[in-house]
Parts: sequence; C-alpha cells; structure tokens
Amino acid sequence: MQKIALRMLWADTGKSLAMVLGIAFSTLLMAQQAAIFFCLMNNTASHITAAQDVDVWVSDPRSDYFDDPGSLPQGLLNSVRSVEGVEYAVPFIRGQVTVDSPNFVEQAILIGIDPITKLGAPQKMIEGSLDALKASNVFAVDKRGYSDIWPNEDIVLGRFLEVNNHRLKLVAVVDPPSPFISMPLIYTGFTTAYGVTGNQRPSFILVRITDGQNAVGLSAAIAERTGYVAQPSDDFAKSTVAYYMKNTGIPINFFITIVLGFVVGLAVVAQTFYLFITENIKNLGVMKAMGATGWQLTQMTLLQCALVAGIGFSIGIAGAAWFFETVPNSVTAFKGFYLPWEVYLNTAIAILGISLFAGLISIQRAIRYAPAEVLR
Amino acid sequence: MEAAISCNNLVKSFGKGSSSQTVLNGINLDLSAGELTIIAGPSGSGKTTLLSILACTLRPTSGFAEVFGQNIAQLTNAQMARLRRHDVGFIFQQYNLIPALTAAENAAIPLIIAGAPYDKAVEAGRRVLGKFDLTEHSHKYPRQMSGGQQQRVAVARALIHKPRLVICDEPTAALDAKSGETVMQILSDIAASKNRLVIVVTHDHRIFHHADRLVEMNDGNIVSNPDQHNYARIA
Repeated sequence: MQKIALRMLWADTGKSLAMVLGIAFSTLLMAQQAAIFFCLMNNTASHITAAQDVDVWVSDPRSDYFDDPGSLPQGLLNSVRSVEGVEYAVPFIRGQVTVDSPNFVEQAILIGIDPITKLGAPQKMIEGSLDALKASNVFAVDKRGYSDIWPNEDIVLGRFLEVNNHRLKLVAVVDPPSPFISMPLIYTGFTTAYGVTGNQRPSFILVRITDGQNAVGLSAAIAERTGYVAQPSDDFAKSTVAYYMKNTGIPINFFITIVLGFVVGLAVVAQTFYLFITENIKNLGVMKAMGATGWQLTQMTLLQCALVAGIGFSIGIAGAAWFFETVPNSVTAFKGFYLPWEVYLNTAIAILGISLFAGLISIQRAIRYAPAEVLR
Repeated sequence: MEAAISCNNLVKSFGKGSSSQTVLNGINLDLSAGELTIIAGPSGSGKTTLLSILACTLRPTSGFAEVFGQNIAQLTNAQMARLRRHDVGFIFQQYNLIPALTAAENAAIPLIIAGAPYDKAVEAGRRVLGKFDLTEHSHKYPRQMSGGQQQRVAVARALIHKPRLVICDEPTAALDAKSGETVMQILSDIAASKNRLVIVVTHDHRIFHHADRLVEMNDGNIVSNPDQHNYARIA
C-alpha cells in the first residue's frame, strides 16, 4: 500500500511540489526567525556568560539587568570580600562613553575590569594582551568596534582614541561574543574607567569563590551580609534575558512571525492535501470497495504527509542552516548567530504537527466515503 | 445446487421519516456459483442498490441477505471489508483504474490490499494480464490504453485474487460492441469454468445472451427471474 501511496502522490506533481514548498517555506521561516530570536536573546546576556571565571555578580537592587548598571558604594567591595567563601572580589564598570576619531564620533560601551585578575574580561584575543591594561590610559577594543572606528584599516596597536575627552592608547583587540547593543566595546582597567566616566563607583562587583563553595549559597550569604543583590552568573544571565523578554516588544514580534510561518505552512499544506485527497477520493473509494480498511487508507495518507513533510523540512532547514553558515560571516549584526538544536527540534515538531493535521483532516473524507458510492 | 447468494424479503430504504425512499421492496433471489446473472432494468429500478448489497458494500434496511453463508446485516464494517477483500471482485463501468499506476500494478491492487508483497503482487498482475493478451501493455498507464484494454485490465484486477463472486457494474457501457463482446465472453467463461458467481448490472441488451439468468427489475421489485432455459423468450 505504501508504494501505491507514493505513486499516487508523485503522479500529481503540481500538488506534491506545492506541499513540499509550503513546508519548506514554513520551516525556513520558523527556524530562521526562532534561531535569530534565540541568539538575540542570548546576546543580551553575552557579557555575563562570556565573563571569565566569574562565579557571583553583586549588583544594585535598582538594577534590573546588565545594560542597566547601578552605582555601588566603594565600601561594598570590602564587605563582599569579608564574606567567608569569597576568594576574591573586584570592581566591574559598565558605562557609556563618547569616542572621537577622525572617522567616527559615536557612543560606545566602556567596560572597566580588574587587569590583575582579569575577572569579567573577554576570553578571545585578536591582537595584544589584556595584561597591557595594567597601565593607565590604555584600552582594548572589540574587533567589530575597531572596524567601526577605523574602517577598512588593518589592526595597528599603539594608536590613540579620544574617549570622553581622555586620550587612550590601543593595546589589544579582543573578540568577545556579540553584545545585544551594537556599539563598540572599549575595555580598560577599572582605574582608567573611573577616570573616563568620572564616576568612582563600580557598576557591579564580581566574585570568585573558593574551591568547594557553592555559588548559590554564597550569593545568599553576600546578599544577607550586604543588603545588595548577589546572583550566580547563570542566574544573572537568566534574569537579564528575562528582563528583555518581559519588557521589550522583541518576543512578540518574533512570535508573530513564527506563528505566521506556522499558519502559512498549515494553510498551504492542509488545503493542498485536502484537494489532493478530494481528487483521489474515487480511487480511494475503489480500494475501499476492494476491501481496504480505513486504517490502511490512513496509513497511506500519513505516509504521503510524512514524505512531503520530510522533504519540505529538509529543504527548509537546509536553507536555514545555509543562512547561519554564511550570513554571520559577512553581516556583523549576525555575528555568532547559529541554528540551535532546540530550534531544529521544535521546528520539526511544528512541521510534524502541520503534516499530521493536514493528513488527518483530509483522510476523514476518505474514511467517511462509503464503498457503495463507487457503484453509483 | 446450494445458493451462493440468498435474499429473502430484502428491503432497502434511504432517508428517514417522511423523506424516506424505499428503493428495494422485498426482493427474493437465490443465485448459485457457476452462473452469470444479469440484472437489468430501467434507471431507478434498484438494480445498483441490489448489486451494492450483494457486493457487501451496503446493508439492507430489513430482510435477509446471505452471501456465502454470511448474513450481511449482521456483519461489522471490518467483516464486510474482509469478505470483499477475499471473496469479491469488482468491475466498474468507467474501469476505475488508478491513473498513477501501470496496468500490472492496477491488476495487483487486490493482492496488495490483502497484504501481499508489492513486487510479488505486481508480478502476479503481469501474469494475469497475460491471460487477457495484455502482456505487452502491462507497463503502460491507463491513459496509454484503449477503453477495451482498460476494461480487460479491470477484469484482470477483479479476478487476480480468485474471488468467488464477481460484481460487474455496466461493464460494457463504455465499450464498442466488439470490445464489449470480448469482455462478456471472458466473464461468461469465468463463471462457467471457475465455478464462480458473476453478477452483471447492465442496460445493454446486446449482451443478454451471455446470461445464465436474467433478472429484470422495476420500481424496486423483481419483475422476472427466469433461468437460462426460458431467458431467451424474455430477451
């Protein structure tokens, strides 16, 4: 029966093609948009997840997420260091500055780190070393920021940049994960950062815990001791993502596009498949008259749907995979974007749902068709 | 000879209440294996409804219809399907071959439905087509064959699983006289040589002489039911 089902399906080239393309389009739209959303939301916490060796983030209770830093008192640093289980704690500054070069006057994000421990520093270097940040009035910049500030120029260390009217010398180029906000990232030692921003208070305090300590328990201890918010890195990353999910229109916009992809796929496939079954109803009726059972016809239909869905999904997911293999290499806005396995899985489930719905709705007609009809 | 099909006071109505329409009014009929029975009558006389019940595709409203010892009214849908799958072959007016399948594949359908492996069934389809001089057409699609050839494929399909009952709905209506005669001769031979019961519903007077029994219907009743010995008088 399976071969008959396949022969009947491929004999109607137009409808088969329409269903395959409908599924492929739906898959591409859902997978691509879902993956972009997934990566975009991950980027909101990229500074946190990429921060080296940080176990606990201490923040201002009025600060909801990474890009809304608070202003912590200097004395808090010692209070945190005094909590048992803290190996060391360092200030971390996140500010917004104006950079001024012959080609570029724009806002940039300033990250001030402890150059000794390098806690919270990016891990991937392009040129130079973060050890050089131990000096005053020096900076590192992310690769993308370098291209914005000095477009079409090779990387040259030792050049100068005016940051908030402070002349800083470039000592390193780093390659951190893409941030959510598309601005150059300027890394300095925290003393330089204090000077550049004119604010002597850290935005966050980063904590490294001693071996054998538990980040969750220590976070609670720090919070209890200081009255400030202390969270393990994973929790802070999650709360940052949650903030963007809850307080921006991004999720609803992507959700609408993904749902549209689903609905378009469902409408095209269900309608085309229903038409296909309707046009073959007499053939199915003949088989029913000859003793084919409803289950046999259902199996035939489900096989046809599964094949159409499988081919369409393969084409669509290949298109999405191609997008994430090629576009992030050439378009800066998509840097680091990829197709997560969760998106593969959920898109496959959605396509399975579409094809099952289309098949089961359509086969009802054949199941209800009385075998005596073919004799009329 | 024991009847292969037996109907007693068979009634079939469609619809309910005031809109109910009775199509068969108490049919009594016994048919034996080895016979070719033609059921004739004007449109609306109930012959197709009677054929549908005898083919186990429709249940009677009341009365008794027994096919190979099984009471149709008491069979479930699955039991009726099983009976059709093993014991009934169908030949339709418009052939009803599946356009996407070759002649051999079309002929093999009953075996495939019964669960035979596809390749073996198609090979059997090729063999049975050979008996109808269609070997060289076995790889062709229905659209590549003439009406007569398609109907012979349909006959091959109806017989491939060696059913005890062959149901034919206007098998010659779409054929020219020569092709129709060929098909009827095949059906007549099958009934005689294979000890099968062949039932043909038709308007075509030209083929009445093939009948072992001619049943004439009008307004849901059998108006004449002679056997071969006196059928010629009616025809």
